[in-house]
Amino acid sequence: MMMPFAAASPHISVKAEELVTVGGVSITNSTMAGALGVVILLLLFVWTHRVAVGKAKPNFATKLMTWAFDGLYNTVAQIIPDREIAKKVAPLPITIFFFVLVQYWTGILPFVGPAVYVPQGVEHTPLLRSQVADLNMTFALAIITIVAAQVYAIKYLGFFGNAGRYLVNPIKNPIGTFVGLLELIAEFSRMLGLSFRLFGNVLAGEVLLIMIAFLAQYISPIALQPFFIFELFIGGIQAYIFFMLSTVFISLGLGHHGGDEKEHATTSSAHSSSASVATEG
Amino acid sequence: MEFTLAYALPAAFAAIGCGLVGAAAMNAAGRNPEKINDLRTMMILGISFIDALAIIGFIVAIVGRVMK
Repeated sequence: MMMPFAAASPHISVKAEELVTVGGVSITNSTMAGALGVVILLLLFVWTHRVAVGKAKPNFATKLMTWAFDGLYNTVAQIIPDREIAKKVAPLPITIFFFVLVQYWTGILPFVGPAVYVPQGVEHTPLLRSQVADLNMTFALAIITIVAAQVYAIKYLGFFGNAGRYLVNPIKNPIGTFVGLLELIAEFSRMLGLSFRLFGNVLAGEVLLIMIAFLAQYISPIALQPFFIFELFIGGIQAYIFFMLSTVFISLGLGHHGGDEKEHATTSSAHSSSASVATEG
Repeated sequence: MEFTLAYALPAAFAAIGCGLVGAAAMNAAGRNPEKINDLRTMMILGISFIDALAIIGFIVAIVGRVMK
């Protein structure tokens, strides 16, 4: 059912409301909008793949996707200088970028939000809600990123080489023991930071839009224009930040064993400064 | 009053921190205009860490207000 003047009362909810329970698994309204976003994402990816293989003519959307993919892949190749490892590592952060971007922008569509609702008892719950406005989704993305960083580090350094980053022999190197312990805690803080950064930005954007629509009741079509442009911009920035941080976290685990010396000399300054920024966060 | 304070304090200090990062990025861009792309990447990375803390403050304020 549709409520055209949805700005009657501000409906802010921190957690996603449950709509249906299917065999013990609850389907929330953010799951439904997430399914819609996944359908859009699959359409984009399959169409771009058909253009790349040669079965279809390129149009504006696929040129945009190819340009974005080239830019992102070059960024990954800059952060991880070894070409083969960059080729293996690149698909995960780039997919996370497109996923977060599409889900964020799906949450700004007009029919996503309190305007289209399902009457449950007395109150109305929105039918669709942005998938990344659910803390479960952003936490899942953060867990995937951090576990993937560990898996790539184990593949590259070996199991004991990776454990040697965190557990240093206290007799030979007492300060190293302390630093290793801090690194272990920093892994968890990175997970929390990634999830809360994305979730907080999406929730703040939603609350902002609801509040402005509630305050400017009848002139909201005019008053909301700058805020929607702001939301599009922030969605792009947050997707890029998530992509950049996941690439940096994966590259921190790989160490500096690969690459030839010339690349090593020019990118070592970028590595050390990014490593110092990343371990502060 | 707790709601406004819970948001205002993190936002104020995060704004000062972002200003410091931005000023350092401007200085570095002035000295070395060739490396502006790398500097832009570093600046966005630094600002995103500070921004996350301000956003967590906003979340805590909203949760404290909505869920009494």
